[in-house]
Amino acid sequence: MIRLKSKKTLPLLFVLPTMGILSFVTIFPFIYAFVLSFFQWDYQIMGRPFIGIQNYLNVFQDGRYFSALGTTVIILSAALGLEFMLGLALALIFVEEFKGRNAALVMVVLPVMMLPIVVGYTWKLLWNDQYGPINHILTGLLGKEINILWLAKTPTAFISIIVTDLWEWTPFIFLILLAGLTSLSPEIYEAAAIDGASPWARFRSITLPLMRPVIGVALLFRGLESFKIFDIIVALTQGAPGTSTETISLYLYRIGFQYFRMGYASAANIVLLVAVGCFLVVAVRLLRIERGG
Amino acid sequence: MGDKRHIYTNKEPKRIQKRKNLKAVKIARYVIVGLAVAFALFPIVWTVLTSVKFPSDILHSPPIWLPKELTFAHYIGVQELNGYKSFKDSLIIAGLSTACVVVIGSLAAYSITRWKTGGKSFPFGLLTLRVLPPIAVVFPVFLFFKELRIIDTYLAIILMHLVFNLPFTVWMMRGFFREIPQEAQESARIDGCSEVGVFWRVVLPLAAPGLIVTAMFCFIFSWQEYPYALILARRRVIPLSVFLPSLFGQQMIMWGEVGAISTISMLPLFALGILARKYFVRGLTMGTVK
Amino acid sequence: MKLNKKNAWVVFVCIVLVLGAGAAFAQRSSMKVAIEEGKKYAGKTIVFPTESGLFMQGPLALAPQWEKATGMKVEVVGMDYYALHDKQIAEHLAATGAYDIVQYSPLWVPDFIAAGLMEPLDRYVEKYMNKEDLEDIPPIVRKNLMMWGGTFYGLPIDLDILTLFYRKDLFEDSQNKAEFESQYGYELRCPQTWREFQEIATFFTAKYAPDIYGAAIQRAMQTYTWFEAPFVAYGGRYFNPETMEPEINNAIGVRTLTEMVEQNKVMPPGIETWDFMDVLSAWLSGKVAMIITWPPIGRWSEGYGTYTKQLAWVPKTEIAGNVGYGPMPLGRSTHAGCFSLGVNSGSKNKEAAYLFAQWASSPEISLQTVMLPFALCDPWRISHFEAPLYRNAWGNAGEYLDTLKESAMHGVWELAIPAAFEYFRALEEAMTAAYGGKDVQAALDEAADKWEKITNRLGRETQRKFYIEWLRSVGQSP
Repeated sequence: MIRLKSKKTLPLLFVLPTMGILSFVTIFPFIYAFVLSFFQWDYQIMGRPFIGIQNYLNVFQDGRYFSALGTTVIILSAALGLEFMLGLALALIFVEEFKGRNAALVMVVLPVMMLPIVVGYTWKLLWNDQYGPINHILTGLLGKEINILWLAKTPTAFISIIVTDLWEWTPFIFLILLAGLTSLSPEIYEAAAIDGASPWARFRSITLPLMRPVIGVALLFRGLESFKIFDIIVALTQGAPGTSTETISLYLYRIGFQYFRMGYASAANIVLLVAVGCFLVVAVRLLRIERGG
Repeated sequence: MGDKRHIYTNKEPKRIQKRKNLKAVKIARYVIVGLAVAFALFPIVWTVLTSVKFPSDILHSPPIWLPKELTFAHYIGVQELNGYKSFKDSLIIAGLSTACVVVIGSLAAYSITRWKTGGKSFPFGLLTLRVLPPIAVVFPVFLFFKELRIIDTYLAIILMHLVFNLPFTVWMMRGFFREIPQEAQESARIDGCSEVGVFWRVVLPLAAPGLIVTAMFCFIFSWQEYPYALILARRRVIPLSVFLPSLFGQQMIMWGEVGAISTISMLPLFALGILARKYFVRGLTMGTVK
Repeated sequence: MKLNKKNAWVVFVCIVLVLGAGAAFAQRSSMKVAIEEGKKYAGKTIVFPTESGLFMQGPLALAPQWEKATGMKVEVVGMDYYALHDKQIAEHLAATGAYDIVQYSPLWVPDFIAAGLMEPLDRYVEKYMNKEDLEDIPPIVRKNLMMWGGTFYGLPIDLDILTLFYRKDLFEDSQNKAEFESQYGYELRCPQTWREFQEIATFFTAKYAPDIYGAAIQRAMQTYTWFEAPFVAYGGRYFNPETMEPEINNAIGVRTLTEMVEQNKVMPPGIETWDFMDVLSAWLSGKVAMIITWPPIGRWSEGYGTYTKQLAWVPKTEIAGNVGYGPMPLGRSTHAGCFSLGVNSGSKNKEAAYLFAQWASSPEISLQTVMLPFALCDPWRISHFEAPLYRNAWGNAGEYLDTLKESAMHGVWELAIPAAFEYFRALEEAMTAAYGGKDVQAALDEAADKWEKITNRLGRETQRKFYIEWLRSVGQSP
C-alpha cells in the first residue's frame, strides 16, 4: 500500500518545494504586475486610474525603450563575439598539457569570481583619463601622449564597457569550452592524424561539429546573462553620455525605482519578458540544444 | 571519469610536426598564456594596490605603480563604515541560500531524473527562469514583498537568489544523477530500502562531488548578485554588492576603502576557486555538456 | 590671517563660550527646548538619511552631541545625491518606516508631498519653536526651503549658493592685465557676463596651459545646475506658462548650452567627466584660474580646517590668500540643491525627529555646523552671515560671507514642481550628450520631447498650476 502510494506522490513531493518557491516569487508577482500594467500608477498622481492597454501602447511608442534595447544588443553581440573567439583560442591552448598549466588556469579564471559591481568600479578607475593606468600604458606602448576620455564620449564609452565585460566573462566561456574540448574522445583525433589531416582541417571538420552543442550552450548562457547587463553599466557610465549607453535593465530600473511609474514599468517589464521568451524559443530551435531526456 | 579523458594532442604522432615548428608553437603558447594571465590579473592587482596606497597616491597623475609607503588605514576605514557587517550579511545570504538550494534542488532533480516528473522539457523550462532579467522580476516582487512586509530582510534576498540558483541546481544535479549507475540503486531497493532511503543513502553520497561543484557555483552567483539586493536591501541588511556603491559620494569617492572592500570581497571566492579548482572544469562538463 | 591649529583652538573656545552665553540669556531658545523635550525620548533611535561623502560628516559630527544631550540615538545613513531622492520615496512606498528624518532639496518637495512622505510640521513649530529664531531666517530662504502652500514642512540646514572663485594673483598681475586689455579691449576682472567668462578663460588657457587652465566647472553629476542660472539670467523660462510647452530648446536654451560646450574647450581636458572632487583638487593645487562651485571650497582654499581627519585627502592648498569671490556672471547664481530636514510621515517617532531637526537648525547649533571645516553646510541664517566669529575665521572671510549673502538673495531657485527630478534628469542627459559631441539643438529637442511626455502623463493643467505657483514663489511673474 505504502509503496503504491509513494510511487505517485513521492515524485511530486520531491518537486514540490522547488515549484512552490519558484511560483511564489515569480508567478504571483507576475500576476500582480500584469494587473498593475493596466493602471496608471504614478506616485505623484492621486488615485490609480484604470487606463486599459494605454501603458502597452506607450511602451511601443517609447523611443528610449527601443534605443536601450538596441544598446543592449550592441553590447551583447560585440562582447559575446569577442568573448567567444578569445575563449575558444584560450581553450584550444589550455586543452593541451604544458608546464604551469594549472597555475595559469586558476589565474585566468579569477575574474569570473569578482563581483560584477566591483569589476565595474575597478575598471572605472582604470579608465580614468587622469589617474587611470590605461592611458598611461597606451602612452608608453605607442610612444606618444595618449589622453583619451574613455567614458565621456559615446564610442569610447562602448569600447570601455565591452572590454570590461570581456575581461570578466571571457573566462566563463573559456571554462565551458575547455570542459567540452576535454570531454571529446581522443580516438577520433588519432584516426584523423593517421589520415594526415592538417590541424586546421581537424579543427574544422572534427572539433567544431562535435563542439556544436557545447558552443551553443556557452553562447546561450552568456548571451542571456549579458542581456541582463546592469552592474557594470551602473558603475561605469550610468548610461552617459546622454542615454547612449543606457541598457534595457538600467532603463527599467529608472522607470521603476527612480521615477516610480509602477504601472508603466510593469507594462514595460512584461513586454520585455515576452520578448525574451520568444527569443529563447527561437534561439533554442536555431542552436538545436539538446532538451534533456 | 578523469582517467578516461586523455589529452588528445599528446597522442599525436610526433613525425607529423617538425621540431622547429614545435618550438615556435611552444613559445607562442607561452606568450599568449602570459598575456592572458597578465590581462586577467592586472585589474585585480591594481585594486589590491589601491587598497594599501595613501589617498594622495591613489589619485595621482601620472598613476603610481608601486607606492613607496603602504597603509592599512583603509581596512580600518571599512570597519568604521560598517563594511565588515556587510561582509557578514553577504556570507549569511550566500551561505543560507546555497544550503537551501542544494537541498531543495537535489530533491527536484532526483525526482526529474528518476521518475521523469514534469516531462521532457521540464528541466529546460526551469532553466529559462534563470535568464529572466532581474530588474523585470524584482519589480513586481518589490510590490509583492511590500505587502508581505519582508523588504530589508535576509529572507527576501535569499528567496530571490533561489530564483536563479534553483533552476541551475536542478539542471546540474540532473546531470550528475544520470551518471549514477542504476545497479547500485536497484540493489538497494531489492534490499528493502525505501525510495527516500535510496536517495539519501545511495544516490546522494555517490553524487557528492557534483553537489560540491553545484554548491560552489551557487555560492558564487549569490555572492555576486547585485540588482535584487539593490532593491530589497535597505538598512538592516546590506550585502557587499550594495555596500560598495555607497562609498561613491558626490564630493568624496573613498577609493582606498573601495579598494579594501573589493579586496575583501574577492577573498572567499578566490579561496573557493583555488580549493575546488579541479571540480571546476569537471562540473561544467557534466552540467552543461551532457 | 591663516587659521592654524592654535587659532582653531581659540575659535573652538569662542564657540563654546558663545553657546554657553546664548544658553544662559535666551531662556526658551529653540535649541534648549529641543533638548529638554528630546529627553522624553531617551533611548529611542531616529534614523537620518543623508548625502554620503563629505556632507555626511556634518550629521556624523552632530549626532553624538544630540545623543549626549538627550539620550536618544541617531543613526546616520549615507547615500549619493540622486539615491537620496529615490530611496526616500522607495522606502515610503515600501512602507518600511525605516527613516524618521526626511532630508530634502526644495526641488524634490512637490514629489515628496505628493507621495505623502512629508509630515506637516505646523503644530510642532507652533509648540516648540522660538519665533525669534524664525525671524533670523531670510524670507527667501523661509519661502523656498521651509514652506509649501502655507504649511511648514522642514527646517533648513544648508543653503547651497554657487560661487565664482578666482585667483587674485593671476587677475591682478599687471602683465596679465595689460595683455588681456590689449587683446580684448576691457579690464581683466571677475567676469560680469558669460562672454567675459569665456574670454578670460580662453586668455589664461592660451597663456598658461597645461600648467594652468582658465576655468573648471564640474560636468558630471548635477550638471543641469550650471545650466539654470545663465538660462534664467538670459530670460529663459522652463515652460510657457500658458501652454506648459517646454522652452528649454528655444534660442535661449540653445545659447546657454552652446556656451557651456564652448567653455569645455578652454577647460582642462577631460572636464566632461569631472565631478566636485576633480574641480576641488585642480583648484587647490593651483591649476585653474576660475571655478564655479559650492561655497565650502572657499573655506578650504584658505586652509581653514584642512588639518582635520575628515579632510586628510584634500590636497594642500597652494592658493591661500589669493582667492577672490563673486557671484556667477550676470549676478545670478544657482541655489544648487540646498538641504532641509523634515519629518517622515511613516516615522514612529515623529516628534523626536522634529525635535532633532529643530535642534540642528537652531541658531547655535547651525552656526557650528556651517563653520565645521569638513562638512558641506553653508551659511543661511542672517546671524551666520553676521557672526563675528565667522567673519574673522580668515583674512577675507567677511568678503566671502558678503558675497554668499548677496548671491543668495538674488539666487536662481531650482524648478520645484512635481517630477522636477525627472525633468532635470532628462535635461542632464541632453547636456552630457551635447558634451559628448551631439548637436546642441538636437539634444535639447530630445529633452523637450521627454519633458512633454512627463507633462502629459502628470496632467498638463495640474503641472501648469504648480508651475505658476512656483514662478510666483520665486518672484517671477507668470
